[in-house]
Amino acid sequence: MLEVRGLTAGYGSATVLRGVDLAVPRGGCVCLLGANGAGKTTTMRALSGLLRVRAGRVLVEGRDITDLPPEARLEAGLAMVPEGRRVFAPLTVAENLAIGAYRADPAAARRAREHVLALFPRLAERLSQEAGTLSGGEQQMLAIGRALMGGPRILLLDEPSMGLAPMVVRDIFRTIAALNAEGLTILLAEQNARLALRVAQQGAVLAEGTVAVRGTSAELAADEAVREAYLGV
Amino acid sequence: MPPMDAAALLQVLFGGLGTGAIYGLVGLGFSLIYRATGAVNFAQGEWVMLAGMATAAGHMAGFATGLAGAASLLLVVAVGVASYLLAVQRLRDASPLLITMVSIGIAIFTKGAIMVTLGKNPTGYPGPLGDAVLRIAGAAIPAQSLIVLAACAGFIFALQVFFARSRTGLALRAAAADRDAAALVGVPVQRMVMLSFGLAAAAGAVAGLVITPLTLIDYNQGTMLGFKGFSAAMLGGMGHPLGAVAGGLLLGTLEGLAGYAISSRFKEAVAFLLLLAVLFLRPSGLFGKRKAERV
Repeated sequence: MLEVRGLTAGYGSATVLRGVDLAVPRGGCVCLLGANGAGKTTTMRALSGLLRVRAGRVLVEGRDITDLPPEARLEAGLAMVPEGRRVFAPLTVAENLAIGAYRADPAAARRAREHVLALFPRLAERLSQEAGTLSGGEQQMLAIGRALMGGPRILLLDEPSMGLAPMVVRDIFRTIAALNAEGLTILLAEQNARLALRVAQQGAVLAEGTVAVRGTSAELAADEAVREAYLGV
Repeated sequence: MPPMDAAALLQVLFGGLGTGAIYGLVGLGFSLIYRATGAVNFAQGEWVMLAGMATAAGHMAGFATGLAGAASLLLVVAVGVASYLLAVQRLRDASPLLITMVSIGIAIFTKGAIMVTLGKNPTGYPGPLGDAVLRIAGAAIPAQSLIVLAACAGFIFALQVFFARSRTGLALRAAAADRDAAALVGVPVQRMVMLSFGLAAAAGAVAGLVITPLTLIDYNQGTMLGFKGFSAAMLGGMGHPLGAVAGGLLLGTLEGLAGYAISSRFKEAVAFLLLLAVLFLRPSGLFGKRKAERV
């Protein structure tokens, strides 16, 4: 469903990614692991269109989206929840959700809104509150909800656990698993390997700008090197 | 100091509010562009002057003033959009500092071009109510100053409705709050920046259109109006459009009072002193919120 071949990208004279290959099957959930600075966020930014790709191809359902800007990628079914949540702080919760459906038709937006509010009842209680005043966990819910408003078929999640309390992280990951069970295809970049491997069926470990290890979640969880480097055992 | 006289004080307050509303509109323009780009647009004041000068030229040429005014409004908005194309779009990934520099160039160019084509003499045109003067509690208030207040209030109200109720207004606010996040939900961020330039130019043009019948205008007045508008925006908190309006009203009223109570020569200094005081005491402006730290 989502296919990445030889992705090369970076900032200025620094090359961060040197040929990343990834594949996320339809309805699957793949996690992207790796240390800080391994290139997880750079990969996500390149896939969402925020960062220009230097070489390589990105395909969604066989269609080449490598040179498309973010808004055209949305139409191809790809949405991203960025690192650090990035909710629109001065806008209300309702407005954040409404802008998430900027390119969706009104009927689809209404359905998506119902779905999101059922998924996150906390947001329904805070519709008229400014997003900047929400707790970190609520902001993460809103960021995910906003991305779902456009009705994506593939969701990119960049570090959803970042800066959140363990209890909240567990809730968020339960929701991610539920979305995946509903059939949403997910690519999850995550520092917290233990949790990510529990939700994802497959994983890839980024190191020095390329995929160092890949396999099923069970294989990675059992892999000595992965255990030592990312699971802390 | 002249003796306190209620009628004179009322007259001063009215004059101050009128001038303040103009500063507020100009400040609003500064805030809109700052919010969209992080840059200070030094051409903002020249757009006020351009609207006044162009309308006066149309009036002299025999066109109906209303028609000349509408055409000037469109002209200034076109200049605003052209400034965006030149300062922002042509220079890909321009930094706020670079955009600010280019805006200084545009300001100097606009001023020079107007001086060469329309001359150095102050000019103007009558407002819709002419020179009518209203007597309110003994104070003489030019009818045009009510038009100034009404036009400013109308523009600001319409802008607020646009921001709060329309899909494009929402998208513009989202893009101002977080460009990348806005791009991720499909907002055409660059078009929103262009729209901000257009709206800022319109704010400046409306200010120029309504103030000119009251004070006349010449090629050189945009710079001072720009400075006052900038002060208003800083006072209210840069990037906070309603704050700029409040800052403008405050500045205009204080200027008027200082002119009345101390000396009209001291009037101009009030803006500088007030700006310095705010920068020392509350760098984020009177109404500006400190940005929340993101973790």
